Amino acid sequence: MSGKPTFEDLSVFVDGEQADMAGPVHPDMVSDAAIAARLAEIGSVDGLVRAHYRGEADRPVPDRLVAAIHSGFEKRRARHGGGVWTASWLPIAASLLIAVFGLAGAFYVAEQRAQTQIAAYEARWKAGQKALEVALQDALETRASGTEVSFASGEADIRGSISPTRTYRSRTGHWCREFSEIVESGGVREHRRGLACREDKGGWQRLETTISGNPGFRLTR
Amino acid sequence: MQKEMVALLPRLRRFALAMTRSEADADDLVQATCERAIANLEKWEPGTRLDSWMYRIAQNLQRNVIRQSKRRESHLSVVEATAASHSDGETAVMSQMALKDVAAHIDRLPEEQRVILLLVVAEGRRYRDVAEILDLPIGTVTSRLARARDTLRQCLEGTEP
Repeated sequence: MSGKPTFEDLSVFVDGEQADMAGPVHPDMVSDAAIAARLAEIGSVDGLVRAHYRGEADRPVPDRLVAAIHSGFEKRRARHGGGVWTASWLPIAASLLIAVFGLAGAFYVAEQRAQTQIAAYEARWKAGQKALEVALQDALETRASGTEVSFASGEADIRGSISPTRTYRSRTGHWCREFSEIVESGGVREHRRGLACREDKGGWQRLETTISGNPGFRLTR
Repeated sequence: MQKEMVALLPRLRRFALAMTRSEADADDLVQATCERAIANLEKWEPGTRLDSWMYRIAQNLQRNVIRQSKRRESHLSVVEATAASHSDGETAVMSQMALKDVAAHIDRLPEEQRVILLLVVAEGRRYRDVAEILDLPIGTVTSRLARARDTLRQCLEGTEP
């Protein structure tokens, strides 16, 4: 390497961004008094810049920005998602559908049997939904965050627990709670997280459910 | 995600402030950035840094604002008369600089240098990341950063007693 490194070369060197040892600044050059002085100057400037910006990050954030995030997410939840079907019931609903189609194939053979079976699935589905709903209402209405409500329905082959995790007031003044739930049905165990808000007339409305980190259900109205 | 975004607010504000220099404008920019990010959440690739993505949104929004208002401040007065009088590199005095002088000097840097200074020096980011956030070639990041440091060095030296 020939010639003196430029200020930019030194700046790059300080950041460890010089591509390799053969770059314009060689570690040996640090013994050159003028270069050492420049490097030290950059160090001082950087120290002051860091101290300045550290102070800026400590300044309190206006409430309206936090509110903007919460209301943005609320609007998004209201916009996305579909219908009254809860994700919690998607697997059961899916098996119900499979059952419907499967049995429809065998319709001519065993119509009566099929009807009975569908009715049984429906009954199970409703019973399961009810058990989960009762537990949800109980957990959100009466339990502190961090406490758990267990539920089980032998008839519906469903069991699990719900624990509220966080409570806050939405921008529209509604109480909302985040919760985690474990649901075991048909030998499958799912960890879910959800959000529900309390309606004016009472009762908690499930707005969103995430199954093992994947979006499962969102309510639209 | 919601929580992460709230936690990001102080740094996002600082970034916005480096671009706008006005607290009111910075807050408007942050709000617009959050709204756009939330509306486009599916475009964020999980596994990548949320802050970089939001910085990029802020940077694009701000660029549009500048383009629209067609006002680009003149930064010609940056170095002022101080550049001429630099001594021979004694650094000890510089550390005595009051922070508020530094703030004033940083404030006078051109916006495009100030933002890079923040990202590299204060946040410790690699040039490559900064280039991606600001949509600039690495060479531009390198030279602007060096210019910012050089200007500050000279300004701070020039205000020595």
